[in-house]
Amino acid sequence: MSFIGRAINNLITLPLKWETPSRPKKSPAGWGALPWISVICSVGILSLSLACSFSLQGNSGLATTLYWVGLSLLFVPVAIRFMIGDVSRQEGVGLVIVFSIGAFLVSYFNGPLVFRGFDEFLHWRTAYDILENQKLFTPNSLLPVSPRYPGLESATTALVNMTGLSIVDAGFVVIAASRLVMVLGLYLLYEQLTKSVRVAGVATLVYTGSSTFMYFDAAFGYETLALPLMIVSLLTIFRRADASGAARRVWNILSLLFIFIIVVTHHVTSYMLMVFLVVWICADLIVRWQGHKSVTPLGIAAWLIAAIWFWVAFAASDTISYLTPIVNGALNSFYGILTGTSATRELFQNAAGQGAIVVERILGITSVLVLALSWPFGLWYWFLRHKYQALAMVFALVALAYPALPVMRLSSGSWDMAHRASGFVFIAMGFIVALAMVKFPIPMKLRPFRGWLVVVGLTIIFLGGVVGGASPNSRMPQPYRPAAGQRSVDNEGLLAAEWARTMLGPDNRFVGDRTDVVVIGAYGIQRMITDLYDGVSVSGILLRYKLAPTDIAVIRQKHIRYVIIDRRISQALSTEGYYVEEWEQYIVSYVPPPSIPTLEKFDYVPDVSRIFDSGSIVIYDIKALDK
Amino acid sequence: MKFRRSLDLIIISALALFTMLVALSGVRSGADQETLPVWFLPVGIGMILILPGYVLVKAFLPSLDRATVLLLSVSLSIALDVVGILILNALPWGLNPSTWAVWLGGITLLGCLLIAVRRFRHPTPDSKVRSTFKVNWRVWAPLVTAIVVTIVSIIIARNSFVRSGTTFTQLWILPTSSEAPYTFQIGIRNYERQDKQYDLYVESQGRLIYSESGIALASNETWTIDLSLNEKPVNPVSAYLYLSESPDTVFRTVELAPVAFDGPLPPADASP
Repeated sequence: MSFIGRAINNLITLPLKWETPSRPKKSPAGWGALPWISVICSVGILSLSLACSFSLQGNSGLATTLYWVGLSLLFVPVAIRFMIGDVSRQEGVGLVIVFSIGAFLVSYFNGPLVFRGFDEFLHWRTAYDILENQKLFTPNSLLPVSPRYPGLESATTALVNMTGLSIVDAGFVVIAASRLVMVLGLYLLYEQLTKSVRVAGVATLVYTGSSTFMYFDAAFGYETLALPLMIVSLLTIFRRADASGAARRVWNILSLLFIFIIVVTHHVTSYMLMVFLVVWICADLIVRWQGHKSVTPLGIAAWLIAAIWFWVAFAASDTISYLTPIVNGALNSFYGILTGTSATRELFQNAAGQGAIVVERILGITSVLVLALSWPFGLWYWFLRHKYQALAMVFALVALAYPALPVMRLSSGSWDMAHRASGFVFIAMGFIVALAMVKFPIPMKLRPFRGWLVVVGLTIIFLGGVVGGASPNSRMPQPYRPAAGQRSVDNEGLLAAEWARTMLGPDNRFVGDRTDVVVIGAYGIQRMITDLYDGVSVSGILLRYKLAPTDIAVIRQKHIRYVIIDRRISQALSTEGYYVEEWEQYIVSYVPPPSIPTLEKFDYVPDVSRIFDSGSIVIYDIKALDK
Repeated sequence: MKFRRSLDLIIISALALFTMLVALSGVRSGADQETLPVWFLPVGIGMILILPGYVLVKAFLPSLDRATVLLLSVSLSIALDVVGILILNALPWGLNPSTWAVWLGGITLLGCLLIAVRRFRHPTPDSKVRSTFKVNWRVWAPLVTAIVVTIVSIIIARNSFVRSGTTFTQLWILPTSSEAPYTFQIGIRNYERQDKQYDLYVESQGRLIYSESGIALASNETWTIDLSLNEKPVNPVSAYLYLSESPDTVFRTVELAPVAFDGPLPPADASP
């Protein structure tokens, strides 16, 4: 037995024989190469800007080339600097700040004048309601829980109030600040944990391989603010352990404050933080049991539970009913994948059959391979050198969830959950993969290649995250295409919304297709009838060739006054797989896309007025049907 | 030297007071606000996203490194915005520029006061006061270049959007409330990005009740007309818009059913 034990121990500690003792050397100082790297990054930003410009003009070939060149110019110099040569702390901080600005601009260029993302409309409406009514919690039929979590809108509306900026511009300022907090917070967290500028820098760059980093967590949505604050709260909780006396009390208060703000800002982020803290408590127990010092976050976790309970009980009681079906659906789908009973999802392809080009597919898969290859070596090194640090153990344990993410992406029901979970799991993956890339001992003869190999690996992870996080349709602004998410938001729809707001007044009861619902509901300030808020399905009203009694019943029950139709949706298959509601095929049996006679059926319904026509968009007044 | 050591507090206090003054002067309120001068923008952004957090961090954690101060200044300021909106929402004055200015300006001034007291009690030796800002062109020239290139990139991106998008014309018909019983408005708005000429024909009961040819509209220009009927129509009132350059093809059509004249525009209904 002892022989086997010794053999296992020798095997586990095998890499340590390649480890050379680190000699104390003078830390570099100054800005180093930062000024010139900033210039290169700015050229990358220019390339991305030109890519968006060409993409809007329909020159997708040149745009795609410029886009990838721009992303590479933004990322690769920073990665090279962290891996090749010595980097001072000042330079390291400067590099991540420069990168955070670039990362913000990548998503900003996607729509600098107006929010175009589906979720962004929903939060825009909440911000508008706060400004208009000068109070919180005005119902929002587009996303009923949004007004209940007003963190993002707090800073945005404060900016609008104090500076006179528009909601969109104020929102972009808040997003830019959130990007800075996220990237700098990650860097400082990793640096505090590893005491290494290089590991911190590489770990931060690994995090950018999360599929949510580049677009989802840079949109005007509540996670965009909550996730950076979660990272800051992890840092403050960690730093309080090193502090003493009055400083420790201050770190405690900061931790409690940030946790409360996260609870008020985003439900899922507060639950994910709960997971981190529970794991942290367990890790703390293990570390103490092994005879090492540690400071438990038990009190902090208790405060988080109390804050979540208080907020859900008194301010956001509909959160549970909102999240339960989403989580259930995703878990059932994941279970179906594991048991082989669930239909698999076509990777890199949307419902209309449009897919990523081969190079992007290879990039996406290679990034998963690089992460999967680094993952065990990172865990190995954590076990050798960091297993007595509670937060390091938290990251190691959370990183164990990583292999589930690529598997969950195989199912249409759970891929979205995998996508969103990556923003949290990658906090841990950044640390673990950085240990593998920077710290895991390797034979001396391989060391000269290590730096460049890591740069290549980091670049693949980063670009793979971009591929996995946004379809080619949504990475850059493109000419209008019907039923294609944010590509379907154009100025004809936006100005129809403005017309509805100014000519019809706010809060009239409307129905429309998926795009019109958010555009008219947000920028048009109309009261959209939705399944989420009203518990009725409106697919029949729009997609049935002739109105059925059930449709008339819905119109009467919900006092629907206006119908908006966009004739262009008859020209293309939806990239989302539906035009009005996900379950529309169960309500209306039709062959997509919907036909023009179907959409224009109201022209032939007696007593219905066709009050607005802008060529593609028509608005009908169906007051007569509500009798 | 004492003045230099307190320069940051003097500047921050002045900005906080100035912001409170601007907001309390009642220049702006609500969602549709008057545009403030551009130079006020960084002041406002600083008051919302940096200064309240900065003064509290400096007051309670004076020995932190610059990177952590930056991180906590921004994140704590955002946290104070969220706390602020919850407190202000519970107060009778609501969420407006004045209440925001009092909240954030008050915190900033309080923080400045705390820092001043601490500095008075524990004065920093002159030797520890950080050196003044030095211009090293080997550092700043590339950085300024990067900033300029970035600003140019932003301008290119914004201009691309301004120039892009579909072109179209809006036509509408709506009943209007006026002394005449059966009045309605017809409107045309040109978003074709060029001057256009339109011909409009309005029919009721199968006969032409109004027509106008050569309605010239510049880009983004609007044309409206209010028309009245002597009696409630039995059939819909229809309006047909033609582009003057192609008079054989109906360009836009709108129609008002007789029941539309039964009442004025519906009241807004926000109730669930």
